[in-house]
Amino acid sequence: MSKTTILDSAKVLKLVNHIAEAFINSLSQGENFSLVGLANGGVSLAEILKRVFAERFALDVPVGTIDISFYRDDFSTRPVGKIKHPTDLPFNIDGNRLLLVDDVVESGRTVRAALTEIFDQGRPEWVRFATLIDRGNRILPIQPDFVGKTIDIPKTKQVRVSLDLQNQNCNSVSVY
Amino acid sequence: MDTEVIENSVESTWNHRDLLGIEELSVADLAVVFSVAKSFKKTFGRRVKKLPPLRGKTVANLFMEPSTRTRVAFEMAAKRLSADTIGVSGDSSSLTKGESLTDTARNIQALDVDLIVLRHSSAGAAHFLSQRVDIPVINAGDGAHEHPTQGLLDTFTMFEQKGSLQGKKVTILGDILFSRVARSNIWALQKLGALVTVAGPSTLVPTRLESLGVTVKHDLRQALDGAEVVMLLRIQHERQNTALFPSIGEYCAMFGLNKTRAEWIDPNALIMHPGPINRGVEIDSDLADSHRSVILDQVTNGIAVRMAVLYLCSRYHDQQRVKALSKEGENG
Repeated sequence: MSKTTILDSAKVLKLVNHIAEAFINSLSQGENFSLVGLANGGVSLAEILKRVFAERFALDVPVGTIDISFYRDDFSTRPVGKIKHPTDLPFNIDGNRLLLVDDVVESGRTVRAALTEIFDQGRPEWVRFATLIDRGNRILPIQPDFVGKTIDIPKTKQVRVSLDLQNQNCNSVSVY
Repeated sequence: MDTEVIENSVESTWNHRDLLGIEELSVADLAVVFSVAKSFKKTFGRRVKKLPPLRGKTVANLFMEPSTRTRVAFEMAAKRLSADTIGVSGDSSSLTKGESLTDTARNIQALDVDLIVLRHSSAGAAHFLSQRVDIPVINAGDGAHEHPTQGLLDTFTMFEQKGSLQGKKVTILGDILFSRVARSNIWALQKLGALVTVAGPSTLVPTRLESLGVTVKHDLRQALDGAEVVMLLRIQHERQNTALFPSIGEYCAMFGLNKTRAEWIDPNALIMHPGPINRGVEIDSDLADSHRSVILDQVTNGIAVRMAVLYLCSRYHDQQRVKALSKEGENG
């Protein structure tokens, strides 16, 4: 299978900064918020965004993780993968404002499941959704509010996002 | 098994529709149960305790023998997974009218139940039932044979507290002969590499138990010396009138865990009991409440482990059914 790198580390960083800036600009005066990384791909992205919010906007943003394994809609047909990052929302959901982040959005099923899990735990004031890559093929009426890059590739191709907070020079997005 | 094995376990290796005993489980199966139980346990304490995996399913709890905590834990586990539950107990069902176990189970299946949890006084009852219905059957204790979820929750508790059980001395104390809890624990502990010692009155701990690969001791000091886990079994009052059993006072004097004897075990040893405890008989009241006692952790873990078992068996069954249906589709 051939691999094409479509974004190198510099471009990834630029796009993450772009998402952070667009999101901050969308906030009303004095609105605080929490980050929720969607396991597994969104966990590192949430950590990187937290750093950008701290360095560029002097904001200390709480970060949580959501793992939708127990909320999947294909429970009976698909083996559940290993839970690497179990759901952990170390803040009150009620009345909170949440920025949900994932590395790639495709069908929208994962986001649907994540929203169900979040609302099982409380009633946030609002939830916005940011993704690094939107690869289309949506089957649900779910659209990201903030997108790094939209790509148009056949369904058969795979997008692989490598993000590492500690070693950001190795960040990349490839298509297989 | 060390922590890494749990972390790397893969749920897709689970291929059991039923859980009938620990004897037939592999080390990989134990790792999967522990891993899934750990994930479920992390959801405890949430404001909304329900998770959706068994939504729309019905679990029948057939308890043909008295049980409080196992029945409640199974019911709670099923409900936390969003299943509906129905409870049938021996004295309130048509079994007392002469209906056979097979007929009761078939009738329950005809009600479109998706999973049966069975507690029965005859060894092999769950196995017998599993061959006659085409839905998952979970053994919640069958005679003196096995009580697999108790064995799983006990070893999960040990694993959680002690990490790898490889080479650790675990002493089981009490009525081993008639105890399905002991039997399931012995199977699980041996698979996990623990060194199992059993002790108690010689009538209830016959030397032939050594054929199971355990060390039999009738000298309590030797049995407890350096033990890292002490598992006490409940004194079954109902057996007191048999010739095998000493009097309560005699048992307590000879085999009860008291302050003096607790000094023989490892200072960081865990004290376990499957409940219900007879304070002042198997164990001194103070010890049952001491920092070394994990009796209440066992109760909490009982829910997490049973959630894992219900989840894994139900999911495997669903996957097999989907496969069979798609095969039928291809052929038709």
